[in-house]
Amino acid sequence: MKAKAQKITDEQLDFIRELLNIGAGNAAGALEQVLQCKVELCMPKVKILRAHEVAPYLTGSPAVPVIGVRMDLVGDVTGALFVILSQDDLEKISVLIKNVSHGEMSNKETYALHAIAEISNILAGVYLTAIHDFCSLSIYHTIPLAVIDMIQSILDETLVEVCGTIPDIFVFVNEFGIKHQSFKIYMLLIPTPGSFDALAGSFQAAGRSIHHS
Amino acid sequence: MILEVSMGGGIISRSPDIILSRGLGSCVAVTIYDSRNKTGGLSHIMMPDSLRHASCDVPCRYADTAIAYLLEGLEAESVEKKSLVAKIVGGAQMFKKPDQINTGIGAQNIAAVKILLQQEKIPVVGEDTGGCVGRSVEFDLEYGKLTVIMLGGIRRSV
Repeated sequence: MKAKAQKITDEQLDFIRELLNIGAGNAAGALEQVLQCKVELCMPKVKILRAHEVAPYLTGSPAVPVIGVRMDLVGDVTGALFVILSQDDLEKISVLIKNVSHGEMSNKETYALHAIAEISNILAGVYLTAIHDFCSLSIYHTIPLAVIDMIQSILDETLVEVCGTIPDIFVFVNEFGIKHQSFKIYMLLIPTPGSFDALAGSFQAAGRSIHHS
Repeated sequence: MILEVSMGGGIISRSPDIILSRGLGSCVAVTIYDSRNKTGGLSHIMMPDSLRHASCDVPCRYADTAIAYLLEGLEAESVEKKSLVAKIVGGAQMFKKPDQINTGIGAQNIAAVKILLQQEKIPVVGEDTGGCVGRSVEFDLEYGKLTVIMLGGIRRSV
């Protein structure tokens, strides 16, 4: 019988924080190009949650409307990557986008969703590159698909697949400051059961090699 | 009293209670109702069958265990099986490309529930399933009325 996957240790968590810090600097630069303004990125936080804890942690209630972007992960690690943000933050971003596009928008919400998908593309690329550089894992993501709906509706299909089979879900909390406004973007990394051990093992090995070098 | 069912849960009750379940995506809510006794049950099903899975901490995670749970609960309330009717809501595929056929867990959940209800000879008298939209449900045990609530407060009776 296969051994039950181990929970993420403090040592692995420290390494993930370092990884996120490295990615965050690159993410801010990339976002500045898209939004054409100064972007300040706070130190990203990482939370390790069980499947049933995710929706309560993000919104407190299963029926709260959010913007959800989903990408599939392929390569050395398979699974799903979600980007989640509130409707308030979508509204703020749509105002910024309007400035970039000089007001030429036919449908504000659709335009903002495209922008969120693009921002998700950037964040995913930055963090997956950081994982590649430090953990020697090649992970690619598919084209982002964005929807607005209830948080639990957006996540349930993915969460039920992994519920009870992987011990932890990785939540990266990114806080940005743009033009005196703050935005919070959550990234959920949900590996498939077969990939969880590979990812956790690489975090462990890479963390040790950094601290011993 | 208003009772809320979370993912994988199930509740049996009678009028004047109302049973809620919120944030269904690929999950399926099944209601079984007996109008004579104004008694019914709702379960929030996550996956199609328990055969490929090990033990389960919630009674209605799988379609087969959920239908059995509802029928046992209703039997304990002395309802007559031949007067039972069912309604099904949910089973969406939230991130579906326009040309893609719904083949995800949502579609499998709907199919599994329909087969099980047919085996139990319980007619399905209302349905709002599939698509790519999230749903919440409100089950009023006075008349067996099931209301589907979508984003923006859109309400629809099934």
